[in-house]
Amino acid sequence: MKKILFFFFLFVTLAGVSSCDLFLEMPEVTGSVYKEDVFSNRKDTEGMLWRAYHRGLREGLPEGWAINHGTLASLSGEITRGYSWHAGYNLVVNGPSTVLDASGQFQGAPANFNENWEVIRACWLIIQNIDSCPELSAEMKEYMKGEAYGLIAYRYMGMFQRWGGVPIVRQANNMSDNIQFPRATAKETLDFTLEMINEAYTRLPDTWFDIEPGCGDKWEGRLTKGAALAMKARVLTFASRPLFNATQPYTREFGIPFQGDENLIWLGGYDEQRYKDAIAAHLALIDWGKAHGKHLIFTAGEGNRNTFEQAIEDYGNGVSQLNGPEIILAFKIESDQQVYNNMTEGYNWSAYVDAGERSQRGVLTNFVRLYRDVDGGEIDWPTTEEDAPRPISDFAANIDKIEPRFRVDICVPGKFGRSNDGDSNWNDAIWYMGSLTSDAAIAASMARAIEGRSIGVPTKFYYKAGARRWFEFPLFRLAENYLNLAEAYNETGDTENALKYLNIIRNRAGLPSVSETDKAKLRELIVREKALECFEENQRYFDVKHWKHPDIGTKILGGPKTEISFLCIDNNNTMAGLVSYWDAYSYTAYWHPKWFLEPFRQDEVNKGIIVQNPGY
Amino acid sequence: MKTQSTFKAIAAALALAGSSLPVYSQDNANFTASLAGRLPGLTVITRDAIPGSGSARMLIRGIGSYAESPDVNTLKIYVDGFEVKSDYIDYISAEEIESVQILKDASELALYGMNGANGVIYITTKRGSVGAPKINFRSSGGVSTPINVVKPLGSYDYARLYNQAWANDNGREWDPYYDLDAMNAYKNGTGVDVDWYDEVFRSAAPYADANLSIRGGSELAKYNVVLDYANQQGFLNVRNTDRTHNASFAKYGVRTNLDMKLNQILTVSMDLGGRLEDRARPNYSLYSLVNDVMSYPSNIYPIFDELSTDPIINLSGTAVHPNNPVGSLIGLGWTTSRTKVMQANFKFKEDLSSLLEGLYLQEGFSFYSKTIGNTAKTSTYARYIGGVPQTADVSTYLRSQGYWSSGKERWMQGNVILGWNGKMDENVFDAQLSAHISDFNGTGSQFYNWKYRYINYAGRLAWIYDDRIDAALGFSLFGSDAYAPGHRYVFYPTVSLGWKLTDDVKLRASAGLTGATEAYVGIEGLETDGRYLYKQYYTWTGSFVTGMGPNFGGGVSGIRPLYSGSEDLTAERSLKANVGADARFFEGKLNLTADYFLDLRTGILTLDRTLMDYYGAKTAYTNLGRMLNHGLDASLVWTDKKGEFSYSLFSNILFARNTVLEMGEVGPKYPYNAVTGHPYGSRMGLECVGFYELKDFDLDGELQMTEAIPLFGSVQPGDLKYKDQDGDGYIDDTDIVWLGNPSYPMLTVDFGGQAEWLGFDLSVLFTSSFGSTVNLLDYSAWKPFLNYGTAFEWAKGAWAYYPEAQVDTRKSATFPRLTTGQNDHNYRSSSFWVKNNNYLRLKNLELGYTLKFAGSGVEKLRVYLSGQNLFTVSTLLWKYKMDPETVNYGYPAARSVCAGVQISF
Repeated sequence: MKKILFFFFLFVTLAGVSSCDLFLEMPEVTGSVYKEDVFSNRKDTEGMLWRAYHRGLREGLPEGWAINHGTLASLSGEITRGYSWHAGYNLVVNGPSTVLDASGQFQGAPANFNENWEVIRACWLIIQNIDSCPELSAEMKEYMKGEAYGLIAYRYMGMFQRWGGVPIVRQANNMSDNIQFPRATAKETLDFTLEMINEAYTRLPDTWFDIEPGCGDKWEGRLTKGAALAMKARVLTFASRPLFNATQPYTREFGIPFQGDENLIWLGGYDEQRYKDAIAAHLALIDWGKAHGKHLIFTAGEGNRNTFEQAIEDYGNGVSQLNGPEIILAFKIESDQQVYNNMTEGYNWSAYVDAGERSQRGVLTNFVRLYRDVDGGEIDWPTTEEDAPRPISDFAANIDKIEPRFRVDICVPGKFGRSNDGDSNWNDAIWYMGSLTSDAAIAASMARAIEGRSIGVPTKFYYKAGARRWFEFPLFRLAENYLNLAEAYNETGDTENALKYLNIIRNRAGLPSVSETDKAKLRELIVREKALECFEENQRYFDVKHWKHPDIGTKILGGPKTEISFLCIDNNNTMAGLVSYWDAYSYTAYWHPKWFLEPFRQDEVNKGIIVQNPGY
Repeated sequence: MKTQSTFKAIAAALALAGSSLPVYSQDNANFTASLAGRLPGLTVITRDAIPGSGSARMLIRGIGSYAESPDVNTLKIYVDGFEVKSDYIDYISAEEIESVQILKDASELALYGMNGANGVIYITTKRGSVGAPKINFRSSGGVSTPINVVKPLGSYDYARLYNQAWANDNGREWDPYYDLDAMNAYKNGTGVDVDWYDEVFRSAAPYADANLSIRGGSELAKYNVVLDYANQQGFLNVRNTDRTHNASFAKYGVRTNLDMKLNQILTVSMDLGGRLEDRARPNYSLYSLVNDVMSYPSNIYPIFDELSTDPIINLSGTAVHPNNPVGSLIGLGWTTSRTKVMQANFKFKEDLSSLLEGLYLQEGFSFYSKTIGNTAKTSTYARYIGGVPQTADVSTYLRSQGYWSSGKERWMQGNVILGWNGKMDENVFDAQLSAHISDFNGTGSQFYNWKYRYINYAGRLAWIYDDRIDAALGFSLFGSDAYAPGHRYVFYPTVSLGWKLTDDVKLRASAGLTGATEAYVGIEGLETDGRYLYKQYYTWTGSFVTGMGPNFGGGVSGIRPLYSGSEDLTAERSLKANVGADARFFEGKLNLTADYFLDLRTGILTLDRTLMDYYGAKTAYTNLGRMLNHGLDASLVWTDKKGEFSYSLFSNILFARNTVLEMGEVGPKYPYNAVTGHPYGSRMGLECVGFYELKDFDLDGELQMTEAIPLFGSVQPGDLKYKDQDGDGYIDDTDIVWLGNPSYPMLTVDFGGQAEWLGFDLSVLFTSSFGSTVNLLDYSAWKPFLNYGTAFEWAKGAWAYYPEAQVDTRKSATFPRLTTGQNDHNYRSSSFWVKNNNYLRLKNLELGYTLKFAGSGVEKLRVYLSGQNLFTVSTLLWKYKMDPETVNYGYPAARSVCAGVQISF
């Protein structure tokens, strides 16, 4: 009987063990971090923010989201389409698509809508939880909240440009929330973006230099008040442009059927005040810059015209100098070697390293024609209409008189580039700088371009880089603001100010001033200047769409593309080795007015909550 | 924990006695593989014939939940009342086993709660019995031979087809990669032409095993002791020396089951079953080796480089094909592992009849342990071509690599059972209450599931009236640490009824709930097996650089939520219903058991793909999945005797068909694109309607305007042509349709028989399987030349048209045009690649002769001959040269024959 009692008690004890539930408390689990841990220390809390920076700012760059292989410059007719496996190539040939590709990735549009939200939610998580982190000072917490708001704003700004109205998310994710809500209107999206920018602006510091005693430049590269102002200026510029700021949405204008609410893709009407708001925002940034060491590098000074050499030096430094005076925010190429490889060696930028894929990112002749000679005159380039290749002396003469920005940005055979004078790495005879052939029959036929390297390859962002292979892609550079100001002043009829800001950029680039007063003609001058000044800076792709530029489908995004090719007797890139050159048809790029806005992924639309953009 | 006899009476279970198990199946020595075809309701899919390979895939009544994994068995295995991992039974000896039982319906699984949804294999080991010691000795030996082998093409055919592929990839202009001289050299045998398969594999491998058991005991103490040994060599063409080693497996098992009656009340049982498993192989993954053999062209290089002056070894090799298959056998040394696995059970049973007739109390404790230790002797070899090293490798002498462990597991379980077997007039009762507590502690290699615990309170009450009607109620209150407080405990009730219509016919019905914790599907990359998802974990990923310099590798690491945790998650639930009948006909000669079953799963843990993107977390799980599985399983046995001739014939039939009702699939564009509504794992893809012909293209090589445009890359004549289902002019994901059944069978029919006549005995087992498919694209052998690979005979049927080279297969093509690279258009799931897999196999044939010695020390002596996988009828094998059971082109399937002797004293 004792035994029975004993076992009875054992049974009860066993039951008791579990009734307090301790036994089933989760045992230790390896290799994980809890939310409470993350926000209990500075390193992990910062880690949340680094991840948001990492993902948030690389959008639109090679290896960043849907554009993966390729660059926006390929889409906007600046450089060639790249290799056939590049996402950019496919977009150029077939246009955007809403479905996944063969490998299960989404590369059907230049951006993947899905990728925005991890960043946005993570930023909200920071905003909601950072106050509990004991290792951060109250000031630093505010700065970091500002950064989180800023990154939310950056993503919303990007979404506004690409898709119009998108759903508005105001908190970190939580499974028990209502998580099915539709797209907001374009206006609501704009207002929300501005709200986030304002939240960021009030919290961010003017500079990160020495923000903590003795930290020096350790934190340079994070968002500042200037970045918030730059975002505001850019988003207001896009709000003011004809795609959204118009008497009717583009769907009606181009006859694209759309069942959804037009307010998703349009601001509901034209309002000149939007240009004025943009002007104020740009001026605010320029003023802020003056007070905080951010300004255009302009040796001759406003009202004067740089010499050729001054222009080379100023423009080169302006776009390339790390954390330079013109750079408000740059994408810091990460510690991730793969991203670095893809961005610098693989796709369009660094020509320094002889990477295999460099040979597919020459500059299209269509774009080359935009450059003028040093005195602002047009340059006579070969056309596809001509019967025979031109002698190479004609090429040499053209390069000798072309404007400084071309020489900094593009490295051509025989003449090299001016980005790294005297550095043998950058003027190497074994480089393949242009589309060369030694086959006279090909030259004689002129039938089709030798696709890939064209007239030459880009070296932008590497001015005086020397042995530095990496670079920092400028996300906001002050030159943009000068030209956007010129645009907005012109649209509001303030020709004087429009010319002022346009000419600052022209003079800085060593070109003479213009004095055009006809609104439409001046607009085209500004458009052309923006293309050259912001070559490869991911501006043109968005600009021409939001301008609804009349040539977008025939000459810019879409239409036939031509490339220059050379006949040579050797591949040494010497003038002596070149014989002749000609322009030839290469390919015809896709355009359809539906592409004014980008599509959402079909699988997202299939969930039945959000409305697809028109035409997809 | 096991259901008791009366309870079993109303359950569908059929036990397989240990004595009817094959003593050893050489084609796959794994015990789990030897269960194939022998238990109604159990489907066994053998994986491969590599000596010492892991558990076969086992499914009980098909697949009830998509939260399963083809690599991990989700059913649970119990040995003598305690749960074990399938490693434990992989190489258990049939000699140790009293019975194997498949628990599959609600009444049988009543006590298993969250461990029950996917069924249970319940193994009872042999115990001692009262009587003089009985000694059994058995030994056998035999050989295995590879079957259903397919080899890559020789150099001539390879080069001939490569020229086609080369031309196809280069503007369809004939400019042969291999010129006439090269082709002639291959043709007349002067060119390099290595049959890697024959170099790496041999045509036979030996096998031997032996075991000894001693059983006996008195009323006070009973014992059963089993010693077990086996040794199996693999098919690699390399000897076991101090420098090289064939793939091989050996096991040394021991079991001691003791029962001691200490007094009128207390009985103590002590069971110890443990095993050493030694595995050895060349120091190169066998899977990689097989892959190399199946993908390295014959003409890449001769095995040895005659110009090399390397003092150690002069193997050929290149940077593109660095792993000379012969070099992998002889140049890298070898590696061994020793697995120690053990289950030790202690049980105390108190007979409390003094309190109440039939009352008993039982306490048990089980200790399970497994460790794997490894050693290796390794070397490397330089790769030469023409005497010049091609890679950075240099040849080294053999070097010992010391000792390392690759796993440790400990599992402690305890249980307490209070039971009562009672009888009142016509009523018989069987009642039981139990508590089972479990604490598993595994290895850290599996990141998230290295520790887990559960507690199971269970009970049942069975009542039999007049031996005619029976009824039972059961329950389990099961608590798992996988879920948040408040969702940890789940209550699972069951009810069952039985009614004996006549002495020969009995009807049964049961219904009840069970659950499942593990979820292997949809936890992409997280390896949580569905556990602990209520906790919000974060992970280090990505980094950002600040400051003024490059910081490659030195950036500040980022952190992000690993997935979206939710405290609402709980275990998957299974509602099982079963109606069945047991019947005897022809004076008991024909026994029939048949069951219709239904299994409705709800709350399957699923990656919620329907979440909007702006939820911002790609990995959010909810219990949203639903599946319905239903079917029929039946077992027929005919037994008869005519004079000295006795025989029995049997058949087990299982038909199971599941349907995914809800799996969080985003509604596709068209209903026919949807996976939901089809059996889990259905093949989806494009419908292939033939090849593109020349006439489909204009003079510029562009598709004619009338043709739908495929969006998977450009096409040319000879590419696969797909049907544009929606007629929108594009071939894309919206044209995907259901193509065929999953990889597991819908219907299995196993049949065979035994016969005895004047000391001779014969047993036969056939297995057959219907309604499964394979996707040939899962095998690199179907992508000729990809990744510098080789080609197989089916590439000869490729579409090609090069009149200048007298090549024109346009009319007879059976394969798309060749390419040397990846082809996203052709190499995507389509009806061209999905093939039905139905087969019939003579699994086992055994012929024996028994001599009886009356009065001498030897009781009987039996000699036998046994064969496995003797023949196979299969379309897959016939048309695509693939073994229908192992479904791969890798390590060959085996046929084996052996001779053995059994002696009983």
